[in-house]
Amino acid sequence: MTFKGNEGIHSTHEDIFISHTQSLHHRNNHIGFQMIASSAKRTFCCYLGLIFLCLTVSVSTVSGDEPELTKEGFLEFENLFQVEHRDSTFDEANKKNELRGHLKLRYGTDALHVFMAPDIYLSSSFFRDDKKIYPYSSDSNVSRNLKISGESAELSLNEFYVHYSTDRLRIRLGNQIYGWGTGDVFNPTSYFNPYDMRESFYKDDDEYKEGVFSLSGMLFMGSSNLELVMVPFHTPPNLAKNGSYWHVKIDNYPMPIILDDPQELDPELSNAAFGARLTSTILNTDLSVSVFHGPDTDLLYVPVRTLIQEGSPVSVEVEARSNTITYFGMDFSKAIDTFVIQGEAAFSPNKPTTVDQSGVADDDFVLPFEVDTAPYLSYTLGCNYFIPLYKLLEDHEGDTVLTLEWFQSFFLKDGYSPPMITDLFIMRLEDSYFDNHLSLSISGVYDTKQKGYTLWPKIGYDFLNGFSTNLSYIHIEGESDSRNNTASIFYYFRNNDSLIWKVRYAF
Amino acid sequence: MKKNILFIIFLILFSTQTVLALTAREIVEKSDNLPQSTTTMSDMKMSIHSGGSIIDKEFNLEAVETAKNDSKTLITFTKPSKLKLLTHSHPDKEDDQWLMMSSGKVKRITASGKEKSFVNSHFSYEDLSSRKINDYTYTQLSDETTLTFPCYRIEGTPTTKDNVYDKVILYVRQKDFFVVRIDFFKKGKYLKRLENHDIRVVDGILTPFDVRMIETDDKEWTGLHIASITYNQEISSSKFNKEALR
Repeated sequence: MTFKGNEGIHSTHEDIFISHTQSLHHRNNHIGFQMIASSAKRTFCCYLGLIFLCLTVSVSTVSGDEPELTKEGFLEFENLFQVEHRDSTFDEANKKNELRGHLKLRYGTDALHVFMAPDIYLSSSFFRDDKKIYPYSSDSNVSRNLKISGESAELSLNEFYVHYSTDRLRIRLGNQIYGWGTGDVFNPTSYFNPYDMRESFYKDDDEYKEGVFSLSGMLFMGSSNLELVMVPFHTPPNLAKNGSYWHVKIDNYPMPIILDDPQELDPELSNAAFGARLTSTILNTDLSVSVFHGPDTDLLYVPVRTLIQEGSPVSVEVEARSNTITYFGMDFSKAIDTFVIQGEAAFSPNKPTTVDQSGVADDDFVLPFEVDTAPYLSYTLGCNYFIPLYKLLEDHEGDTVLTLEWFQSFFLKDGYSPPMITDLFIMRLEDSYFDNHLSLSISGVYDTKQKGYTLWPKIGYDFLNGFSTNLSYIHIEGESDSRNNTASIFYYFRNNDSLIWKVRYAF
Repeated sequence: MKKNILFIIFLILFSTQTVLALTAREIVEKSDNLPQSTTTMSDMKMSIHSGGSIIDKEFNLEAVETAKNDSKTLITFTKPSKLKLLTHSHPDKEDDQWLMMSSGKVKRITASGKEKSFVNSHFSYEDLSSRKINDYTYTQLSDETTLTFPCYRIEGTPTTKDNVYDKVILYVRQKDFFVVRIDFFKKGKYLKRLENHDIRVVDGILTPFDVRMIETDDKEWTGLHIASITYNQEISSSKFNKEALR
């Protein structure tokens, strides 16, 4: 069967804007149940081992140090209002009311301890049926990284590990988040942690990455370090659910698109992730090289078939596939006077992608799209300028920082569908006043290829007694090219201009 | 004969006085040679008195001097926000500095301009960095009693052009050569003073448990209080590694 019009939708690990629906082809056959049960058993065993280790830590001390419990956290209340439709009532505009509780607990000594950082989210729908379109999950489930999700509540343990360290070595086992890379917004060398893109670009910095169960070891060698990571089972990215506020409404194709949920890869050794990173500081420059093999945090969207349902238009089903991949990466960061210059790049000789059919005549499209591998490069280059405003304004005491970043990704051979997210220019300006009580920032991302942008100004006030509040406005504009069905990533969120208000109490 | 003997005795006494009287440089050298630690671990509280309000901050400080005369300092702020600041100071090149933000991301930052205030306090980064004795030339002024202690007064003029202050006046306690006060001058004017109070001996090292930086008008000042401090304890070198900040 031939298909007219659609371009293969390729995503990079920054492609957070393609949402999905449940596949109409339910995959729970007999073999599937067995594999799911096997996967759950292995996950369970890993976490059981982690809990055993935690108990061991609790009854042991190292070097005579007394174990200590430290705790901190916050409660935060957030409201989101859609401001695109000016005729909406207050209730219609109010899309999200959420209570978040965050805790950081550490028990043990510096050398041997357990660390956990649970987050609990409750939406207003948890307390009453207010039909807000902000589900955490389309149904109740427990994911491999111990995230327990329902429609109106979620508990996550993005960080939950046992830590052991000596003067030369550090070992951690459990759910971890890795901070590889120097980019401020885009990190091509962030290989391990999938992204939580249920709110597109607009999550807090500490909510973007999902923790993964892993074993990591770091060897300290003077001014150099070697870090090794092994992730035994795959956790796919988390995307906005069908019908939710940040769900991508793809309306620029001739046929409706039905996107499948990303699937977890089988818990086999072939789907485990391995990575190594060597870092050093030379001549006031931080340098690192890295290598990775395992499941790509980018999803590959492959149009596979047309779907015909009674009462519905003919649709195209698009699978969200996770593939194993090899990356070679590097990053650097150097301070020059009041500037910090930083860059990061990742190269893959075999990144899976779809063969480009944009040059094919309309009647000759073939489903499923052919998948091949091609060499691929992704990089980011930017700087932080620490503006010495105190030299101009004597009473100015805050840190004024201007961040500029350029991101690009592309295949090194022709004939393949180009990455959807590329050629982005990022700018952020932040400052604080009145002894850090008042903070101001404005962030912008501009899609130079497809013409779209987002602006995100924020104002915050910290009472410095635990309470703080901030107000931000999200503005999104994007264009679509109807001639070849391409669009800026921001086009799909052009109706999501929003006002966000948060109140936080930290303890 | 008597006159000759008296004259000789006077000469001997005069010569002895000349030998015993210290020069400004010698006084500063004696102060510089007081016992110091190779490692420091302390819990500190800072209270910033500014504009009629008081802002409290708390942090832990861990510092180590390495064999190459480099020093490494890790400051972990616990209140009001959770940040970690790691500094590797080098005598012959620019410092390296990294910041771990509350989100967990570790970023290299520029070694802050020395005249910039440290976390919005009345201390500048220049005030917190170690001074080398050869960075100044010294002139002795008249002695003075300060903070109840008889002190030598030594004026220090910087030998390098990039110094924040035009000159400093050191008040060096006569009994043990500990600096109890420093006056800072900028653009020819008196700017602020540092006072060391509650001086105790910890592991053989003279330590002020209460340090104050006071502006000219005496109304605005920052107090730095040591809650606890230990010297020369072993600190794992991995703590001062930027990759270990997370």
